[in-house]
Amino acid sequence: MSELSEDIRTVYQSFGRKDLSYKEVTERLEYHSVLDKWPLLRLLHGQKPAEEADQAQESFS
Amino acid sequence: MRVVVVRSVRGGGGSSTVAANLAAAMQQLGHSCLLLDLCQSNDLRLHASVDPCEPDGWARRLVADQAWEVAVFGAEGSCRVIPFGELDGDAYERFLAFPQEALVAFAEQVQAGFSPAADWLIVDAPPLVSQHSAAFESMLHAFSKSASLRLLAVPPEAPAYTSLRFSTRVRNAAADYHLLLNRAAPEVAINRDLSLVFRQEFASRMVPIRIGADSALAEAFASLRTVFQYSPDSEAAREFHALAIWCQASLLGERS
Repeated sequence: MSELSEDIRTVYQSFGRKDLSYKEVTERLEYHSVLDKWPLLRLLHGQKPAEEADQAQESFS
Repeated sequence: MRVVVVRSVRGGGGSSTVAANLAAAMQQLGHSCLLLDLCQSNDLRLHASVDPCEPDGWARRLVADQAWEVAVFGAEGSCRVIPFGELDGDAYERFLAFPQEALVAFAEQVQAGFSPAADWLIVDAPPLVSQHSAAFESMLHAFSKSASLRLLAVPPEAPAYTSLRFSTRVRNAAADYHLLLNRAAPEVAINRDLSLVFRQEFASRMVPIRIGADSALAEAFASLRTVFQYSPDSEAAREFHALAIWCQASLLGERS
């Protein structure tokens, strides 16, 4: 199996993860754009920056 | 007998549709199923071809001090259903005042009495956002405690998400439920987006099958049938078949 490229690894690390698949990264990006897109979701999530929203999600699940 | 409790977050979440069609799918897989309606709306029986004018049901019989075991409908070989029953104002007042021991005993009797005859008991319970007497809550707890599987039918819509995510009472009540996306309509932007939000925020509790907003389900209900009887080749029938297999698979190794 080929190694992960460094630029992809940087993307992974920007999410605080090491081994997320491309699909998971894409879904996570889309998730944050959805939270920003709808005023209700933005308000419910307190307009938290992405990292905080991630942490909230991890502590909830 | 394995017990599955199906609820929704709010009224209209589709728990009756999920319970009835899951039971039909189980039946198709060769299991005998008993459906029990704990909802005052008394809708579950309509999925099982019971006459809409039929008022009989377990709660009606309990209030009238009659044997509830007689209020079982359905032909041999198809799903049987115990409806809630129609209660007028006075009868409902009496039901609300029913003692806790009697309702908990009912929960135990249903499970013990039908245990050899039915492989699965599928219970359609009232939404999480609804008020009940303490006695009724105790009965719900008795069913929930003995359930092998607890499913929460969740339409990917803002009210359900808001309650589930940000109401402490609802969140606590839903803590041991698997979430089943119901009436998913990917062509509707907010529906598609909230499906993604649910998958991200409740990842470990999501059922890996979602039930789409298939018109066959509404038409089946209006025809007093399950989707397997009304439209066996529909997308909804395939999804419920997959859900039944998932239910079976997730309980593999567990004693029935």
